[in-house]
Amino acid sequence: MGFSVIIYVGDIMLSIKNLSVKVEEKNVLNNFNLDIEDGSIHVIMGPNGVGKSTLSRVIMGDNNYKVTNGEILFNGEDIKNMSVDARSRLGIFLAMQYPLEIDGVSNQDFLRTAISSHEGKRVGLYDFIKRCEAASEDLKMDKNLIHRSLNVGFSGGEKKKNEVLQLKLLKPSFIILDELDSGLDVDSLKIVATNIAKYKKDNPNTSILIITHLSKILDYIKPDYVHVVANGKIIATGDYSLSQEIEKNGYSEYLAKSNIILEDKNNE
Amino acid sequence: MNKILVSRNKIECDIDSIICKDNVVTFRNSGEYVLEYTESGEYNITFNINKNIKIIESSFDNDLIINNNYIIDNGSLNVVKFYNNQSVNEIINIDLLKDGDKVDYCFANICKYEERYSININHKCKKTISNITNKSIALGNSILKFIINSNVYKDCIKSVLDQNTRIVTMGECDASISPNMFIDLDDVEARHGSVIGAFKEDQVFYLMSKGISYSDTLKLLIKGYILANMSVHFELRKKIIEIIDMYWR
Repeated sequence: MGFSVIIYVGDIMLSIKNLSVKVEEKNVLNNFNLDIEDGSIHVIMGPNGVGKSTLSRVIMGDNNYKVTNGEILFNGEDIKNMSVDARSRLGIFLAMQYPLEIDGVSNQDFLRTAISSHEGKRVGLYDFIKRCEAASEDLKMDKNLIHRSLNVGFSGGEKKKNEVLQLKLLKPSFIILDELDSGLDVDSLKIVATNIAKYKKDNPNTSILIITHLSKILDYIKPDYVHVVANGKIIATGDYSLSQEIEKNGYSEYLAKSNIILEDKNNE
Repeated sequence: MNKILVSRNKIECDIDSIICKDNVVTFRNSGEYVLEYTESGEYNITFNINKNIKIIESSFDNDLIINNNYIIDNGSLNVVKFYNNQSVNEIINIDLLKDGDKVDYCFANICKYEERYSININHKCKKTISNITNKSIALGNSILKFIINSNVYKDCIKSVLDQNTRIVTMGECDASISPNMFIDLDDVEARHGSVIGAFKEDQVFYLMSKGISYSDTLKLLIKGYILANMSVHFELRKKIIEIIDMYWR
């Protein structure tokens, strides 16, 4: 248990420097710093309402989160003023905690448009179906889900599998998993997590940022670094053992060390 | 395809299953019929429905003044309609005359300038059913008005009425919906929903976060919105998609 000194040796894929973020006039991130090197897996843990999901939204470019200070560099390029879609096409992928339901927009149309946008040309129907079928099979997804409205009527597990299906088809180089494990039963978690682990194995330079409350997902996707966030900044960093320590004893010790008293917050 | 072409001077249909006389259309057989307004003008058509009839209506780039009646007398009617016109002033009257008569009315349009719709549904018998759905996109500074009046007369027990209207605004348009239900008894099932506003920001964010540009995101949302539950023939579906692609290229 305790603070670790981390020495980065590879190229930095994502570098967040002194980032401060406001949501509805409230400071959520305060001079937040994080470097993620090529091929590394980082985990962000922390109590509710400390800014974990905010971080994922800000990296992706959600306009509802106002960056008041700092930089977000992706492969050395400042992406702070880049549009959401451009960030995605650069290789950033956000698997959302609550994937949205969009009635009328078919999953198939959505996926085909997304792949075509990434590849810069309209992907052929046969090619698309082939790719989709292979990826759906890996995820043990019902083949009919592809023909239904995007996430409409999907179970919690099916929604999360659909996020991972997108990931497999869009082939990002930087993946953010925002509480991917929430709402998943043990079997679905295993399928989803092993698919991500397989993707990482096949694409070793891919970096992953996992935002989670639980360490179960980390049994399948072994992290290089675990960070504890509170009051909008990292207050502790360690390795996999830190996540196990937190699972066992909670955050109180780390919060006390940093003199942080949290309000009771159930929603981030 | 059973096609009916409507122009200023005549209603054209060369199929035996329809009788067209003095602006009155009577259907001999149940089935699906396609109706297109081929030019601008003032129309006053009465459709007599005593079978199970589906009418797919469309109009493109016209200035229309319409006052049509659908008289359902021991039958069911399914209207699926798409407009992309210059201007429209339309009054629709739907009468449900016999026990158990039913109408499913699904309308979608892209409004460029000024369009006004008044839809009157008259439940005149027991166990009659009306499902009215309007889905609109209002562009720029356009004016778009809906008045929907559902009337359930005395003794028409066990009737079911549903009105659902949504206008998606794509600019500073003047849009309004007046949903009215005049019900003269207790034993009916009535629902209505009316929504005016832009597409939700979080939907736009979700689609864009997967690499889809803003204009392609709008296209996906609009196609999904307009075409959802619009059971139209391939030719019309293709035309609607072409129109959406033209507006949001």
